[in-house]
Amino acid sequence: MTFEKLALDRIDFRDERFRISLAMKREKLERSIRMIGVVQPVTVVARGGTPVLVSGWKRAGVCRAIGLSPLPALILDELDDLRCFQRAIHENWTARDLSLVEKSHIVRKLADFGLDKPAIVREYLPLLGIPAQSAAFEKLLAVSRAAPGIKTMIEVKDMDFAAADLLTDFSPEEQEGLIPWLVPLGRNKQKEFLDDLWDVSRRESRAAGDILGSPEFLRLIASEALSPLQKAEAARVLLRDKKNPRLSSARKSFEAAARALGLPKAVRLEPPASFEDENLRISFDAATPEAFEKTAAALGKISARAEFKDLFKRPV
Amino acid sequence: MTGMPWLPEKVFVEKESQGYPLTGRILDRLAGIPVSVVHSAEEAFSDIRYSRNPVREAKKRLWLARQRGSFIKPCPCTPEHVRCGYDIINVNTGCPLDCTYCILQDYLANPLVTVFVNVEDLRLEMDSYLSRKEGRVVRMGTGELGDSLALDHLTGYSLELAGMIGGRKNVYLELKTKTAGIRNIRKLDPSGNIIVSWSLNSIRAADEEEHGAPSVEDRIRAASLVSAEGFPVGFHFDPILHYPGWEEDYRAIVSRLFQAVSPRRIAWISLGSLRFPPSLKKTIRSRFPQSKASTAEFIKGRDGKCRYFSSVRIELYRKFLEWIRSSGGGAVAVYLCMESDFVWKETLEKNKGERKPREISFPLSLQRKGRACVWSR
Repeated sequence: MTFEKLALDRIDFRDERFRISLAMKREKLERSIRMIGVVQPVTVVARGGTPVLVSGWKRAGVCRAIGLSPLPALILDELDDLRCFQRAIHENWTARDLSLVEKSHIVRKLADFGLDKPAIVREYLPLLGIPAQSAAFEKLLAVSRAAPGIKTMIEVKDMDFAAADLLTDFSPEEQEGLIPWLVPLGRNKQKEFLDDLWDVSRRESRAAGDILGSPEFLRLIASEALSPLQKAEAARVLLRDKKNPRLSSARKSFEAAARALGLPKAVRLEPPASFEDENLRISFDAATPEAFEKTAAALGKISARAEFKDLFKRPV
Repeated sequence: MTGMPWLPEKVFVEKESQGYPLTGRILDRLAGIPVSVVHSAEEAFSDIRYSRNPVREAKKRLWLARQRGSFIKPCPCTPEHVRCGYDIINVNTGCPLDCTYCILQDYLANPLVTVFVNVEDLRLEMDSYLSRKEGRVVRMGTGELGDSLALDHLTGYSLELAGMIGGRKNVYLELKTKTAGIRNIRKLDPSGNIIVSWSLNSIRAADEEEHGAPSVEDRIRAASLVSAEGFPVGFHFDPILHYPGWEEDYRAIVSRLFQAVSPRRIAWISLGSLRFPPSLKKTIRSRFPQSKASTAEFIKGRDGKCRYFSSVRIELYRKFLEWIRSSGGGAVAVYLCMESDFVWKETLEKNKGERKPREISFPLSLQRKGRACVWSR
């Protein structure tokens, strides 16, 4: 391995065989390079007589963008692509958090470079924080093959493995159709949306696109009053109610009955969890003993009513 | 597996288990099938661990090893639900059948079809265990972590176990299966305290979700044969699946069951609706993407498991009870598996005439705080 100052135009940037980083955000790096230059040399290796980048894609990319050349480079004399790539993995892995799409590229490239699946699953998935399972390996391959729009969403929304796992269960066409619904939602709600959509789709033997193309969802899309987040949120609730009609109906009935009681404003009344046990949760805050007595007295009156007692009956 | 007895593609023998008589008998019965002697289950599984479907691959392998812990354990049941008082005998773990909803997919660290070969250790443990239980009713069985009869043509464990409990009238040994592997059973004396039981489902549920299992009709036919020879038989409608058309499908099976088997021979029928730990859902989805079993509406039960909404469970059980009673099973003991007090009460206590405990000895072991948990008319 040697060190040299390498002119940018000598590097073959089209050869991305060792590339891991997607370089979507590099403002901070650009600012640093403008201020002080490239601190950490990039790594290159000659292929076909031309240097190709092993690591340092973001640094080299910034240098190209701002016209800074030459840049410090370590020149490897390694002939084996797999060994070069393993070096790139370790350099990236120790330096920063890898995104899920980057992890998927690592796994695909390791396989492309000839490392066998058991070795990837056993040695690299734990390194990447992914369960060392064959199914997880297949899922990462599916992410690596996803359409650019899907990869961008996974990257921008910082989707985790569990969410991408759910997403890639859908066909590539279905995945594209999910983008507008998923982008506004946070991670947990994305997972809930995907999980419920899958279940409803399987249960009703309908394609996801068919469900999301039904009038109730189309009305949401067409709404001018709702923001993208509100639309996605409303769609998530629609799906949840479709997935869980009984629980949803029981909750709505409970809430309607609770409202009809005219409880004091300070009182919160929650149904039993999943309606599996008897315990209602009744709570209230009181700032003074007088406020406490007033609310307790009001509750005492309400508790004598038949409608209140009915709240304790579980759906049968 | 369907109607044919299961045969492994490879046999792995734990090095220390080579000298056991049962190892020898099994290997004799599997002459011609490749055998490797290894040190651990991990070693026997290592080359398939990262295959596309390791659980399925593991079902093609037989692992012969020693039971290092206790063979006999109380049924763990499930927290916050009515307990069954049953004892489990673990002579084998893992199962060659591949039911979509099977908890063993997630539960067992070793997914190989495993037979424990240290029968003498079991015999000693059984003697000691049963002598401590003298005078008390004991219900025990092998069908918890594996099918009781799916490997019986290789192991002969049904005969061994029958010999171990023979003559003890306070002990009921249940052999629970989805197979039709009754050859060894028919060699036994139908003494009354060996109960062969079948896990049944609707034809549709069995076709879609119970991969590799014999048809429901084959199971009922096997039950009919065994009961005709004088054995008491049991049936477990578990897991009952709730899907459009369930009522018609399950009614037909209950009706078919009572056509084929005399109610007088039925020791008990248990009912249990689909439940599973949330983690299993991911496994089902990954291994069986076509399965609809885990896509129904589920709530989180008090034990943390996914269960049908209580009103659905009550409806399922009430219907079953109605069909059982109206099909000639008026006196048959029926119990619920892993259910809550509330569902028990709504299903059974509130049904007219379902309060009287059956007056045979085994329900005594199901008593909980003085309330019998098995009802019959």
